[in-house]
Amino acid sequence: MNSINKYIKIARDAFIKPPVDIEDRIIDRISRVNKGDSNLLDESFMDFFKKTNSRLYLLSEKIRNNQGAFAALATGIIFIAFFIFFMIKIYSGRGEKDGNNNELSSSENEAQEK
Amino acid sequence: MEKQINDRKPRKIDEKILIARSKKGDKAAFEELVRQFSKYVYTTAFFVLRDAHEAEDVSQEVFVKVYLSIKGFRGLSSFKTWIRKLTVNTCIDKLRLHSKTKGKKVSLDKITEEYEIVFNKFDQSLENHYFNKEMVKDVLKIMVNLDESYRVPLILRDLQDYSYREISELTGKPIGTVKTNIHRARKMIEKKLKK
Repeated sequence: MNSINKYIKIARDAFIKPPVDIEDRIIDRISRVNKGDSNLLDESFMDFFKKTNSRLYLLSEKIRNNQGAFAALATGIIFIAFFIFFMIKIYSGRGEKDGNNNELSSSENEAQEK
Repeated sequence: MEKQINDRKPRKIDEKILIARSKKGDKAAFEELVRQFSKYVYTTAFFVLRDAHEAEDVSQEVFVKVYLSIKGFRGLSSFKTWIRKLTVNTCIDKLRLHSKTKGKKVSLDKITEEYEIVFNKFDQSLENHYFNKEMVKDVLKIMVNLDESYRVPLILRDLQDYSYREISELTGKPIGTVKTNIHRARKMIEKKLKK
């Protein structure tokens, strides 16, 4: 199966040479575009066009196509956020404790001086 | 028979510049876009529809659609991605509406006799250069001859980078069926290559 995958990978760079000069035919067709051709821009095309021009849609597609990766990313972000929150809480708690200790030691000093 | 497209080709103008010019109504710029992408569109259409005439019709239709709508193209995805999706959608519509090509098989020899397979880039340093090329041709020939239910998902997945979910939505089949058909298609190719 691995060898098949290897050949398929190479096949991505292959293309079929058209039996006719397709470029000239397309260019000729475009030179003859008229109002009637606007029928080609039907509902199906307009739907596709709107979707591919929407950042929100493209982002949602990316998320839907890579659900596992986005779930892992979201989990990672939540974990980091909790870790930062936890660290802040620990340090602020330690700070308060140090403050209390300072206050306690200064009151002891005062008592000794008296 | 085979051609290697390499340095002899004139330097391509950046697609973004061509798109910007085409938006302003520069026909020459649009013609250059046609030159750069027509073979890609034709090949994609041919693999899905397996019919040279239909592939040509689709190619023309796709470029007319692009020509008429390029002013509104925001470029949020690359032009190649956009035109690829447009081509595949047009082909799927053709398959659904006309189902002309359904069940039609191209003989295994026809593809080498009548159609030239060209390699865009091929690593010259590969040891078994000739062997690899012939194998790729065989794989493509087998791929083109698979039934629609196997061929279309396999091409979309392996050659066009579609996700299983996108293929499922396009073909109207459950994701499980799509996965199974792609797996079976690969097995079929493997089996036929061994013969």
